[in-house]
Amino acid sequence: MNKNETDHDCKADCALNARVISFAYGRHPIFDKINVSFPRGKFNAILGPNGCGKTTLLSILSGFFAPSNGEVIIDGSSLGRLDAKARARLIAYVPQTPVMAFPFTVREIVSMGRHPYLARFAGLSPQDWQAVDEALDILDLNELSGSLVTELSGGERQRVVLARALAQESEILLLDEPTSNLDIRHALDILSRVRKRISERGITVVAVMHDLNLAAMFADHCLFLNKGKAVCSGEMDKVFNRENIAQVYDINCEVEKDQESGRPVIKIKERVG
Amino acid sequence: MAVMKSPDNKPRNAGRLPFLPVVVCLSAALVAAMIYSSTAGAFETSAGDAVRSILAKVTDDTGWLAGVDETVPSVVVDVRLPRIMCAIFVGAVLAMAGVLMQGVLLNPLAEPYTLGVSAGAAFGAALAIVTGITLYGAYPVAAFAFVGAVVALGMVMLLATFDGQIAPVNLILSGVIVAAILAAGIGFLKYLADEKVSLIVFWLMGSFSQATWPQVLMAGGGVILSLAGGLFYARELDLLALGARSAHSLGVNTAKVRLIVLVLASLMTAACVSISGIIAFVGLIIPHFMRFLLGPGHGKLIPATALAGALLLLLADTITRALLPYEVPIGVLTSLIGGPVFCIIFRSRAMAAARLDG
Repeated sequence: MNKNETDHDCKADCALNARVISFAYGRHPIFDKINVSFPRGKFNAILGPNGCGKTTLLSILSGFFAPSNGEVIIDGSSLGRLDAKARARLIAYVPQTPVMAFPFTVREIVSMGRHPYLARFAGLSPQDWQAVDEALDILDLNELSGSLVTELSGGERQRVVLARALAQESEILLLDEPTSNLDIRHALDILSRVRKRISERGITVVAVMHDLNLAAMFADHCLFLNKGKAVCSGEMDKVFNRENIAQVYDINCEVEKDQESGRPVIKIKERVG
Repeated sequence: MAVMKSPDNKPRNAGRLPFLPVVVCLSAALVAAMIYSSTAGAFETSAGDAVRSILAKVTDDTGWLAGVDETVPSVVVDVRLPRIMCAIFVGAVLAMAGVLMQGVLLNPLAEPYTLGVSAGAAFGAALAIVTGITLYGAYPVAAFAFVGAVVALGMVMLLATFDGQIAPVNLILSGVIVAAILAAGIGFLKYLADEKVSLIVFWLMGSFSQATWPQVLMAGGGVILSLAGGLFYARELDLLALGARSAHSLGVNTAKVRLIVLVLASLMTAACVSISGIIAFVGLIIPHFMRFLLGPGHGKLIPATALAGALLLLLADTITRALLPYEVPIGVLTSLIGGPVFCIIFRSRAMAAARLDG
């Protein structure tokens, strides 16, 4: 058992490091001095059962929650010290349930991704619009670009917020259960587009994921969280195995290698007892 | 500016009207309404005489008054004009306060009245009236109204906040609760007020009949501050529509923007309530209607709402002053129109939510 063994060997080329992080909601502690790091240019999955602190960790990594102890290091500088727009040029965040309070068009929402690059009162430059159009293209939203976001389905909204995050052109993309509102076809579609972006632009993705099979198909690296502890992290080959999954989720399963893709495949068994 | 335009000139208007023509039409209608309102009333004058009187006052040149009955300038400039200007400025401020509160709180039903801010201001003003502080002029009432508005808003936000996040649904409920408590307080003050009770009642129903030039200046200042603050934060307000987390990740200091905009909107509302008393639902009807016409982008919405709010209150005040046989308090009039609109917005939102869930 690799108990509490988190790998620090990637420090040299990690896009995002969280060092000795503590966090509590009021008196309810979530993390006590945990260390996590995410290698650059990879698809990093954060896995763990409900209530283990995945979304909270993502909120800390995005700078929305300030940890009570420790700091998040991005490209060698402390996240808390960055100015809001400078931080937004480095990190984009996609929420689990997109909020669309007012009837903006899809194109307007995606163009909001350019905010970190704009001076107050300045409009979007042709380069900004190019980034917006590219993001619309990648997520196949050209047809919908003039539609009102308040009239879209859950899956379409998810594509819109992901396009907005891509238009932000950040080095790091944080995704909170990006496929939770999607059927399997759209889930595969979205995740392959994210993967494509990683291979084209070398961005770093950190995604909270619920579906272990999707994580197995798309992630390069994963972090298992349980009850606020970083149980283990590392490349999929090393840590995505029967022992870790059984320990973290308290389930029985087999992990095999798919002959064609060489990626792990998980077979979940009915729980006995 | 937060105006987001595509460079390739493709029609992407999503059924919206173009901004400039709408603003030009609203401005023209406002000027026409001003001229009509300055001629209408118990003492009728011609539009030409009314305009000449105003020009004479503005340019300080009595040459304009040649051939004009000498009672016309005093009626138009001293009696009607302050009332007209107050209605315009208060209407603009209340409508903008509605847009700002809705933009920050992501709730199209938020406005000074439904959030209890108006009730807080009225309670403060009633307290000032009962304790007799009014002897020192109109400013103590305004100060009390402001403190009352801010305290009420603080209480509402505190009630509706869980885990550091404002829950938009709870917000209106909290507003209703706080307003109910304040209404009881105002009732008690009325009981204590004896002969001053009519002064408080007058306040609760809203009216411009006591408008003075200093009040015009105060309301005018409110218009400038609301407009400047609103336009300064126009794009941040657009981004807040994505929720606090997403807006934060796009580089908006959400806590700061929310606080500044809410305090600004409350302060301006308080100033207005101290002038006109409670005038409900202007901040609800006008933003809703303008958002429907122009879309939700705040850079366009804020100035257009100011004009439309001004036009609505001026028309409503002119109707109650000059057209109805008895003067109906304007707050009563706007509530009679606004109440049903509130119901319609609430129903259509509830239906849209049900459709998306299903």
